[in-house]
Amino acid sequence: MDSSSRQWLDGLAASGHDHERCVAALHALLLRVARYEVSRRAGSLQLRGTELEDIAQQASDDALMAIRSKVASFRGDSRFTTWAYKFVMFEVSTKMGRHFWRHRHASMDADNWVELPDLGAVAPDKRTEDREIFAALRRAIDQDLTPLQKKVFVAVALNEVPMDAMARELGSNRNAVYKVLFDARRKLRESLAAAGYERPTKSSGSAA
Amino acid sequence: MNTPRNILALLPDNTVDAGCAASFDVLHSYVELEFSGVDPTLSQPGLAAHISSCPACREDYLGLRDAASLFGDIEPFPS
Repeated sequence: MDSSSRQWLDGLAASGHDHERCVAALHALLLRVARYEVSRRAGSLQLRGTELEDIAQQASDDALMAIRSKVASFRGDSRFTTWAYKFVMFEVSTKMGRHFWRHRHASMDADNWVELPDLGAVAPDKRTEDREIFAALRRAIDQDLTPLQKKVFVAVALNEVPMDAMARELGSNRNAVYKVLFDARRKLRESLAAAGYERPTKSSGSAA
Repeated sequence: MNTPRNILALLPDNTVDAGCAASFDVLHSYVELEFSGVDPTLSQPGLAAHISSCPACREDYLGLRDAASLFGDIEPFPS
């Protein structure tokens, strides 16, 4: 294990003043990372400065809690900081998902994607193909997906709703939403393959 | 909204997709392997497949890669 990682682990395992100093240093570092990450992602949401700072503060607080509770599971297979920062990424994503609905009005209506995009710049033969693919996909979504699969696929894959925002909307979590999306994609691949379109399907896969 | 051709691209066929939770468990080592010049897709194909299909985990991966690069070698008590 590298010396920096060892110092972090020793500091977190220490007691008294050394422990408190290490926790304070870690929190300050996590906050820097959270601010950077919030800023990096801010373009996807129309958030203001104070909202961004609130997200960074909350994310760093919760990441610190997660790290302290899970530090015993750190096996030294990366720098400690890299391991720690992934908790910041997760918390930033979750908290920005909560803010998504305040500033965006992406439709949650699973039927709200009936319009065919403007195909004016596409060659005529490709326009016909696109229309056929679109029709086949629409049939597959309507006929082959469960209501939940349809809702998740339309929101996440078509209307580009963040998965953590979708998870919040459904009272679920990212992993469960992804499993629904994974299964919906598999069904659609199979349906499009049966209709004679390329890309579809090779296997059943798994997204545990 | 995505166009029809892009929609087909949104139906990836990943046979070894590890899912979000399992990918999170090893995301840090994946990033560090990448930094060391080793192709992480060889040893962690499930995560590689996952971040190509899951927009949320892909964003986490991109953010972690940036953060580990920018803030990676910081000690708790710099001398």
